[in-house]
Amino acid sequence: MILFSLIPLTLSAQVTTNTGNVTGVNKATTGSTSVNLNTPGVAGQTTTVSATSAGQKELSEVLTGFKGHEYNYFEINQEMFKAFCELEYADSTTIALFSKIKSVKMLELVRTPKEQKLLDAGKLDNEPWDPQFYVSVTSQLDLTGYTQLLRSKNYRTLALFLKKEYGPVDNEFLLITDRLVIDIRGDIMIKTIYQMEEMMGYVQQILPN
Amino acid sequence: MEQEHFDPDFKEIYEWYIREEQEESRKIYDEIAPELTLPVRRIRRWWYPAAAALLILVAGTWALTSDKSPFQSKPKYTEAEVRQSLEKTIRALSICSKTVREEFSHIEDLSAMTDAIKPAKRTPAIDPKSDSNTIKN
Repeated sequence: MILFSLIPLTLSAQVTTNTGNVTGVNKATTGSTSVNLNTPGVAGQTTTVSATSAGQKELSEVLTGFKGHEYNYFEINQEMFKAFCELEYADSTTIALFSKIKSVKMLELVRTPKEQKLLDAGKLDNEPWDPQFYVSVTSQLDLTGYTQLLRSKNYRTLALFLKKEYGPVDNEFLLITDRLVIDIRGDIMIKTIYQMEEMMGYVQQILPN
Repeated sequence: MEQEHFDPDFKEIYEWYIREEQEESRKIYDEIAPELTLPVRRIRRWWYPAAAALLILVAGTWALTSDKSPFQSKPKYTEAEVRQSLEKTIRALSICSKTVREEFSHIEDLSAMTDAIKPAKRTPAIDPKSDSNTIKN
């Protein structure tokens, strides 16, 4: 899989793999820095998208700025996570996870019926791909205080994974892709993020119908 | 008809006497007045405390029974709201976890990455020849 390396802002460490470059653990800095995203376009053509990597807006402001039926946005606060812990079917593992999460925000670009149809048929990879959503988010967001854990691109997706520390037990992990933005804040580590898929699968199983 | 004549001195004494009597009567009346007007005064005396008590009673009843009361111990969210939020959370956390795992999976030496993310103290390499590494019971 082809990965890419973007212009690092202030590089503190970089991990290189045999399959390509993944820029890891870059300290994002303030200021307006031009970033070129060499993205594959239609029919394998390479297009260059220019974007400003650091904007001035807070995350909430950026996320709520995407309005319209083509976007889905939700935010779960700490009160709701407390409510999760009080569910009668919540076990100790679930409670242990949810009690540490302060908030989850998600903005998603809704797939069009045509895209969904192609996705279901497994033919979406052949369709034109637009990274505008990713560019729009990253160009507006104020990256002050965020540490870049990962920035990668493969033949159809862009991903930027950031971390911000508010305190010893208060971290924020922000994932920005070409289709969605997910922000998780709480007493969590990257290992917790790794385990979440499995844990959520389990929670899904114990949910009563 | 013979006109009656009073001695001026007597008249003065008489009027003084009348004034003294009236003043004495007023004093006596003032002394017994609170007792004479007791019901009215009692109502007036307890009017404000009674109104305050009534207000507290109404506010307390509202606080304990109203849905909008901040002291109401009813759950903030309905079961449906919690369920819907939980499903959204499960989806968001699953997608995030899956994406991060996939992207990081491109890095062969993940331990190097996690060490870079968490610059914790590195455990010094164990030297098999060194005696200090031997655990002594």
